[in-house]
Amino acid sequence: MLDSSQHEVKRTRDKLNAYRLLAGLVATLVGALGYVIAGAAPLEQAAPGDAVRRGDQLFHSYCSRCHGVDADGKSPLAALLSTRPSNLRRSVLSRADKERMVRLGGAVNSRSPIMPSWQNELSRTQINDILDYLQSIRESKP
Amino acid sequence: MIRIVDSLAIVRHLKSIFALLCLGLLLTAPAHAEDHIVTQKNKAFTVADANIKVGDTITFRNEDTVVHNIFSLSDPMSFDLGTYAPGETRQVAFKTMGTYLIECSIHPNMKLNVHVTN
Repeated sequence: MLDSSQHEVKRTRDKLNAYRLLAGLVATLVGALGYVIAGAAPLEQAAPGDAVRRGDQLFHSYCSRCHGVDADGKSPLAALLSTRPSNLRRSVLSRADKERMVRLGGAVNSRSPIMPSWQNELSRTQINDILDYLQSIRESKP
Repeated sequence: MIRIVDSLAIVRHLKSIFALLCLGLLLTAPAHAEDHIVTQKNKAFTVADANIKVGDTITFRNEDTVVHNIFSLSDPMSFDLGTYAPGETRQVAFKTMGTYLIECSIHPNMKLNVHVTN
């Protein structure tokens, strides 16, 4: 039969054991987490060519009907339009101006209102991809 | 007496001729052209196909939240309606028989087939 002081010691010892057990569990968890993080594959970096490829697909989905499959302004629909779509292979606009044109449309940029605003249809990333594609097919000056 | 009888006969003949003329006009008169409404909503046409008669019109009604630019490059007749805003309409008369593929130059998935028959 234990007296009160011995009970006190026992309780204290039990508490210490519980804390040690908890500390051990936490340490195990932290260690396991660290192992997983250290062993995880590094984030895949997008190759620069991916943007051009995406831009190519986007251009052909959204832009080619007016600007032509070759981005030269020649398309069956272009023949019906009162203003001929631009030959994007020879555009002299800066990238920033092209971005504004695509995002806000022709009317806002003092150009033909036939060019619609695409900001509700295309994200900034998609617009940049298209611009990357157009840059890749740009004809160099003779 | 004979003159009165002759006059009556002539009047009867004239009435018959007039009736025949009216009947002829009714039979040869063109059928009344119908206007069909096709709505654009959620970046789509509300129908995928439309069957109409030669001479009918289609009113394209933009009930969407974005602009549309409806066009067709089909052989019977090509057209471009230009960009029009929500709430606006554009009308096209189909005077030539055939099948028309109608699209939107802004939304590549929008497609409508219009079949025009006599």
